[in-house]
Amino acid sequence: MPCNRAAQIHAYHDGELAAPERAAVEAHVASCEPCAALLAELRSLSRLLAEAPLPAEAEASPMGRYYGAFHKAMGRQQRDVVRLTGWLTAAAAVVIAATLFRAAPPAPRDRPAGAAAADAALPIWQQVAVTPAAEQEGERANGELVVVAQWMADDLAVGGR
Amino acid sequence: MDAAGVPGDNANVHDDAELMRLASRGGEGAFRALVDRHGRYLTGVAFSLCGNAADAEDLVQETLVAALTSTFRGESKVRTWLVQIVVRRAALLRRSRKRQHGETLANAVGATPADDNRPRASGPTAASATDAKLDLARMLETLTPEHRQIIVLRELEGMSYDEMAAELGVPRGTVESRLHRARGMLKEKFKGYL
Repeated sequence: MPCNRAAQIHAYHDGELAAPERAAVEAHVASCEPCAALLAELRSLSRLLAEAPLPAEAEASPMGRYYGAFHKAMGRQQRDVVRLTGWLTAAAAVVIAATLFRAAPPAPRDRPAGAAAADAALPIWQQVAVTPAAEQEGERANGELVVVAQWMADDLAVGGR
Repeated sequence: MDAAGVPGDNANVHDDAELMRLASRGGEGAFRALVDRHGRYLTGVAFSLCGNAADAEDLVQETLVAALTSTFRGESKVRTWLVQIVVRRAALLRRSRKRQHGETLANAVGATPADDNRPRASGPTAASATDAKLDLARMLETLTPEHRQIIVLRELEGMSYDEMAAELGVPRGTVESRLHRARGMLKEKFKGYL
């Protein structure tokens, strides 16, 4: 008749039990024929698996190809380093650019006296086109696209009059 | 990297962990020594898990690359660590094959789905089992992939229930039930040898 302690016999065989449990299982096995037979089978099976030869395919292992794994791995490591360096450089460039942008004072607006009068004669879109970038910084801060759109609208309104 | 640049990089080092450390630092001689020691065993295990030589060789090569690009923490023997990687990669390969196969079947009308979780059909019959010369692959091919994994990790590499549970990402109870089931199937199939 089968015994319900099979799980304990497996655990005993696998060395998973603490000393008191081990002693209890040993005492049980001494008086339980099915458990003694199970333990003997488990030992025999483990031995069979441990002693089973490797399949013939193992003998044909392509050792040269396996050696090649070394260069593959080293190449991958180098690529990872290059990639990491690239990301770090890009991140550093962004930080420096942001710092310089915040620290730079506004560009001086020292234009000749007659320039304002000349500007007034030009359509607004031409004024935007010829104004140096440095002079557009203030507008950029307010949203470049919005400002340009407003100028175009004004210009169209002037032209329509 | 130049192997000559790694101090102590030679095949005369006896400790696998030391060879692994040297190999990870670019010691080609140490790496070759490790391959010489374990390459055939890993191929045998990989073949026993996946059942064909081409996949087995791919698995071993990928395992060696992965081992070189990661860190060996010394929590087990180097060979056990390498076998763990083989087992993991074999499972990934099986899942990816299964997914591809599923997609193919979804596009094919009237095809019969092949269950990759079944034991391979070419396994020895109970009657022939005692006649054939048994090797590891022949024994394991009678099992499902999950049962093969558990037998390799426990019977070949001697991992504990907790270690296997962590490795396979399943509860300890699942490890125990798989192990009992796998042993039950092997006992039934190879009782003539026991």
